[in-house]
Amino acid sequence: MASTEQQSGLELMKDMEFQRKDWAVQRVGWVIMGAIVLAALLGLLGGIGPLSAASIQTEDGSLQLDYSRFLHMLEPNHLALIIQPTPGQGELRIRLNEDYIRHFSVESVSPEPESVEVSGRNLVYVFQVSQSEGQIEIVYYLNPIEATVLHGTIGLEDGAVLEFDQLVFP
Amino acid sequence: MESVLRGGAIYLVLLILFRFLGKRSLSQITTFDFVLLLIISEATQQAMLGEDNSFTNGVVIIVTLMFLDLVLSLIKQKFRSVDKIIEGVPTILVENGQMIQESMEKSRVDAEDILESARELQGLERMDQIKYAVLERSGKISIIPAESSV
Repeated sequence: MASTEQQSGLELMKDMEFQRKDWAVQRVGWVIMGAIVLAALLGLLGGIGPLSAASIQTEDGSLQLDYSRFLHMLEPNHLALIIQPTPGQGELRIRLNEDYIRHFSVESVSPEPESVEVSGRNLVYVFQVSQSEGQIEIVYYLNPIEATVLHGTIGLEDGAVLEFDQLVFP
Repeated sequence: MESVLRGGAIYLVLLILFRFLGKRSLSQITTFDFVLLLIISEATQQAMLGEDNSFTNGVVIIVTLMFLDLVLSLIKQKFRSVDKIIEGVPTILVENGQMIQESMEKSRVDAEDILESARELQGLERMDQIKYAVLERSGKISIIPAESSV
């Protein structure tokens, strides 16, 4: 109940009830702020963090993908694909769905592919393999340019394939 | 995760550095101090945002900074010793018209600064009209006039 009182010697719009509610709302705000900081620390709002970093493998372990579940726009991040190559393989052909890569600005691919082919709804990255010993790691350095839900399919052109989802915040 | 860590680290670094610089720099009354603060803000922006100019990153860093500020203010409220360490203590510069040399020298305040504050705040004309001049934690100089000049 607001009132302009003069009994305390000070003429002002005093309303303790409102003030108490104001303070209560402030404290709720503090909790929300703390939750946002915590979420960011855990990686839920993008980037590195225990809840964001993910790694998936095919059943036989021949293909493994390390990625971040949560991203935000303009944040440089990467996909790391680890392949156990078949011996004697001269060429490595990696298939990635075009729908996925379209939502990124591709900074670079390491190592650099020999060529990139268009195959239906997919892009095929062709890498030269001169000596297939041990694991091969292909890293895509990407910069998200759209806030959206993404579904990616990556793998060998005629072999094992991994599917993954990512959420990009604005 | 790195946004929170980066923002938090910069906040703490600036807090510590400004404590080293002393109280006067915070009240930015001279062009000198003003320019310093202006340029520092530009430098910190780069360090905090990095290459990430997204809305989410901006919000996360802002919330982190405000939350840190909030947490520190709650800690200061509970523990007086922390309050002193973070904010410092007020210093008496003039007592009954007499300037306290050591305090003025160490705080890098001269008689002119005190007289300026006396004119601005109380409309006083001379040093002997000042009962107390205090360098507050904020860097401002507060003046209590001597009784007879009221």
